[in-house]
Amino acid sequence: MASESDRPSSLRGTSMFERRMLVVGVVFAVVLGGMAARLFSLTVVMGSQQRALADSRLDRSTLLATVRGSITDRKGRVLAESVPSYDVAIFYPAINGAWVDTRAIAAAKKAVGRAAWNRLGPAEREERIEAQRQGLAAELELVLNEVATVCHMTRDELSAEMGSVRMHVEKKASAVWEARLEIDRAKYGEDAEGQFDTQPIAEQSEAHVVKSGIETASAFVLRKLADAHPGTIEVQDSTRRVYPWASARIDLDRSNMPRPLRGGTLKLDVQGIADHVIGGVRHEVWRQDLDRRPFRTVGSAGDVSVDLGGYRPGHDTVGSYGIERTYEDLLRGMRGRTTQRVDTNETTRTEPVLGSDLQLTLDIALQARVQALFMPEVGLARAQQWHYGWDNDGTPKQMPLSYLAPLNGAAVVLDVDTGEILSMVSWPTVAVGEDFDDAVRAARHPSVNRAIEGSYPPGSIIKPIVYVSAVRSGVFGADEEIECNGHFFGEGDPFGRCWIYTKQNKYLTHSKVISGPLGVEAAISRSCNIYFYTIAQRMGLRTLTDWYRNFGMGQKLDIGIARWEPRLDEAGNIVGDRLSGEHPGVLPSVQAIAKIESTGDRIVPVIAGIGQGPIAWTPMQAANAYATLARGGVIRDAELLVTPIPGRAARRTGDLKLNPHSCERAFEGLRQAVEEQHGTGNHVSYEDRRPEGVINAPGVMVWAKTGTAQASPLKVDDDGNGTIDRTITGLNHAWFVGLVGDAQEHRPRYAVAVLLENGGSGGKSAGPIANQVIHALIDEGYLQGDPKSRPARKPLQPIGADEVEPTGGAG
Amino acid sequence: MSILVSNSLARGLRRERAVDTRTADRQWLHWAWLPVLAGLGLSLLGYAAIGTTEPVLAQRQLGFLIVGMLAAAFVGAQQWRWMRRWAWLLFAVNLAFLVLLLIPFVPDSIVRPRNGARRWINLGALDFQPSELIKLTWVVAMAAWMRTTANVKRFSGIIATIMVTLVPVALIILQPDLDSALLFAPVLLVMLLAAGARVKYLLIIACVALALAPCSYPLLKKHQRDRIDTLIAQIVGDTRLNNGNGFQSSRAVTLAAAGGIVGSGKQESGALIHYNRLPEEHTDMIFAVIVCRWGLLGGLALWALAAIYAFGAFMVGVRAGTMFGRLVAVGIGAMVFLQLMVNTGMTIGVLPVSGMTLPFVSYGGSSLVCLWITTSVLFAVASRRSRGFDLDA
Repeated sequence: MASESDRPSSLRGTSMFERRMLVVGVVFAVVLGGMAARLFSLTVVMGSQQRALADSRLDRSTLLATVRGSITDRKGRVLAESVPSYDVAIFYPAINGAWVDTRAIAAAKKAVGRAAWNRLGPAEREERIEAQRQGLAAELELVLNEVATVCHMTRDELSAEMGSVRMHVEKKASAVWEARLEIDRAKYGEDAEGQFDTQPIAEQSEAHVVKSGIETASAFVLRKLADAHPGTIEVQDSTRRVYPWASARIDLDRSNMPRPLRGGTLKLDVQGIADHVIGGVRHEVWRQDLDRRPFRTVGSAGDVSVDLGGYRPGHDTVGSYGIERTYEDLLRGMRGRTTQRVDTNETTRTEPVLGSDLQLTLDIALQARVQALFMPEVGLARAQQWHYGWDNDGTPKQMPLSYLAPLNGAAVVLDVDTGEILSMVSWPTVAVGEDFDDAVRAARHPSVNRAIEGSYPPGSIIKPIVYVSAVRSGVFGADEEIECNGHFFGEGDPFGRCWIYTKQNKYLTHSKVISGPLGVEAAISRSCNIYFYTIAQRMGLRTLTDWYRNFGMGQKLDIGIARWEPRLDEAGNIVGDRLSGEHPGVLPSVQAIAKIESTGDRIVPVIAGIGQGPIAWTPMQAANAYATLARGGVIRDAELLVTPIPGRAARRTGDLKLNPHSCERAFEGLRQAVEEQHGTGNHVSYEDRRPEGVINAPGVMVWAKTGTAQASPLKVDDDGNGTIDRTITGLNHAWFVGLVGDAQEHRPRYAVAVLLENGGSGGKSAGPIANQVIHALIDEGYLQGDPKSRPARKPLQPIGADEVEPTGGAG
Repeated sequence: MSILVSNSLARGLRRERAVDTRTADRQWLHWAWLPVLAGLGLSLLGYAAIGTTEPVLAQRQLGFLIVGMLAAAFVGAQQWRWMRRWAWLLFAVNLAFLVLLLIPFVPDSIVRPRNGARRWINLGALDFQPSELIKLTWVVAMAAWMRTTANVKRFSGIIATIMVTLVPVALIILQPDLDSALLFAPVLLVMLLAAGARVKYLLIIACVALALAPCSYPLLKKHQRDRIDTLIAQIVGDTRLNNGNGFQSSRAVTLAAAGGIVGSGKQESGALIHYNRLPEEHTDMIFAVIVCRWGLLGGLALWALAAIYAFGAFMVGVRAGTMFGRLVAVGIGAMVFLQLMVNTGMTIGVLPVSGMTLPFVSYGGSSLVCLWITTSVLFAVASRRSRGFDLDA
């Protein structure tokens, strides 16, 4: 290198040049320093976070299916389970046609060669792509036609399925974009729109199920098709929900039926057994599911989190109502996931969490037998002349409903000791209702689970409750007697009369009948109104209401059977859902009571004592109250689940500490009501005036009360056009609620509540059904009855128990 | 042109002692070895980096490197004085090639379009990109003009250099390659500074240029504005564009950051780059590959080589015996260094993304061969034994 001395210092600009180069060098060094600082911040400060992001793009995830939990009855019989099956899914690009375009571009590139392709202009490229397009479109059409054929669909049905997937995905995409744009707007103000980029959402590359539950052979064919045409379709392992006990065949012994219905054995195919309870699933994910529990959630920072138990648009099994819906999150389980790193093939695996199995307290065979009693072929749940009787001269009494009109109803059987629900039937069932035409369905509401959703005035069945409550609250002595003079407010007053005190009966009174004042046994068995008006008035509406509440009226019992109801915001948009499926019943509120007291209403506080007025309860609540009475006041609300549910709200407990003596007397009244000739639930008379016992099961003991509760006028829309054509008045709901046990044991084991909507007289219409329920309890071994009196029955079998492919859903 | 070529003024300032310019005056120990070694280091780094994802191209790059160094050896062995004489002719010929690219009906066999851009002339084995070579011929032509003090002392002389510079700049912009064109401005500034132009004039021009720069924004093409928008978005932490216009930039930043301090090795970084779908990973975005593979240390090493190159070039200038040699060395040093900075700057998200390659490192024969020829010019300047400063040699 040249040394410094070589250069004369007089030369132009040498030192200036060096100074300037130093300045340039310093500037360059500063630039370098700044860049190095930036790179340091990137690699060291943001390094691990960005590394994670870069790594995440190497992960390929596959979801692993889980199996939805099964539902069994108390004896372990499977009521609902998922069995292996296959789904056919079409990739989204094949659904919206993008498959043809991408494949056409790739094919055109391949045909021309990469180097030549680079030289082509846009128009020439497009021309070559177009040439490929036709063949590929035909190929896709071929695949879709094959799918339709194998799946036993028409091509149009398949197109409709695809269209609906497309609609859902597009909706979801625009919702996602809208949400992201909203985030952008919040962050960057109004110019966000101009910069907004509609990134495809994951669903726009995934496969979507168009047909669920195809057979193994079809799945094999379609798997081959999928391999031959990659990117079009996919056959996914899946499950199908089956309900083995959805139907059963019952041989109904009619030897102990009411005389007009008596006959030989009736073979019945019972449909939709316990479908209100078990519920059903749908195979389509709805908006509300996605709102409630989405598979992917995009956070406010744009971060994506995944809930492996969440829903993805398209086909998935979702509990739609009943237990399937209530315990959806438990039954559903969680999918698993394998994440494979594409470069190292290193795999992490999250095992699927199988859905929980649920065991119900129901006895499905008993349920089937009880449900069968309501079938029209049997005749018990229809308007019969003997429900209304005949006049003394033999002419049939006027029936408000047409002869043999089908009646809706419900029946509940509880185990007194445990509170477990052995049977809860609502008639008509969901499955039966599906065969109704629209007008009938609109009139009879088959989807309503009357056992817990139907709320009816209790009528006289409330009377034993009123008595023990009054004794316990100290306003009424257990042994007090009351004179029945037929009228409570005065001779001429049309209100507050005893049911026996009519012109037809020549103004009879119970005191006249038994020649003296009534003790509680007579009051209950004869169902005297005056006795209970008196008690109610003495208690006051406030105390009476409190006691009704103590017995479970006016609150949900948390049976846990769901019906989906949308939760709306003020604008009427669905913002979530809520589970209903139980009616709390009706009790006057504190304000309502205060109003009644302040207006000096004399009637309501009095008729509340005979189960009329502003009070109502469900058949389940009625059975529950009677079971509480049978336990001497120990509260153990009706329970449907054997399996404990994590996170479930604590259930009502407590002890009403009823006066044992009052309970004994009330029970004696209930026994007399059934067993003594004068009891309201003792006998029914038929056309020939010959009476027959309502309860005829041998070897059992029954404590029961009938109720005939005024029903609101029935609005009838005969032609189903949505307008009311006529209104039927004078109807009564028929109750028969009681307790039953083996005669030898002499204690109540089961609480039975039967309700027939507009059934008229409780003893005559609901009573015979309760009688058959007791026979069913004997048939299923819950009561011994009298073993000598009947042959052993063969155990009930569901229809299709031996078949491989049971039908889809209960609903 | 005749004024430009004229050296009458320079003649007036000629040193009295005539300089012997025979071959014997070559020297072998000089500063140009630094740029040569730095260029070799960068080339090998590039070879290794290209091999991360494109082993086949890496082999070809090695071939280009050998061709480039042979070409460099050939050019470096020449008596380089002819370069000053032919400077303007070379510049003019190079400009003619740039014009050729812009003529619409030149057949594809001569001008080979790639991805719709016409920047390459088909030379059989190697595609020649005139815009790569123009950087060298422009520096040489500018040096030839500026070596005459009077040419740069006047404001009008400075304007003249700007006007001349605008010719290749305009032709490159029309290609369209705005970003390469913009590189000329700072290099011109450095050369003018080195040539002894008045700082006052340079400040005025720089201020006017900076003041006018924002006004040019609306004149920019959409994709150019997008790139600037993307950069601003990235700096303020706006991630919206990461999958659109900002895709390339955001992926490059992510991958560079993913390298950490020491990098993630060949296999892993190869997978990361492939599956993060980094575009232009072996050309414009090669710096992201380097940092991903060798980490912060790899990035610093590259910059160290860039600094060594610039330092060596400047020292060649300091030690050069003539004003022309001095300006050529400074111009080359600034050109290579600044292009290295602009490319790495865009990769790590401090400058708008452009189609500019990373000198010596990015895959591309034309560019590599041109750079080695450029480096050989430095070598030629340095290897001429200086017996003092000869303004007219």
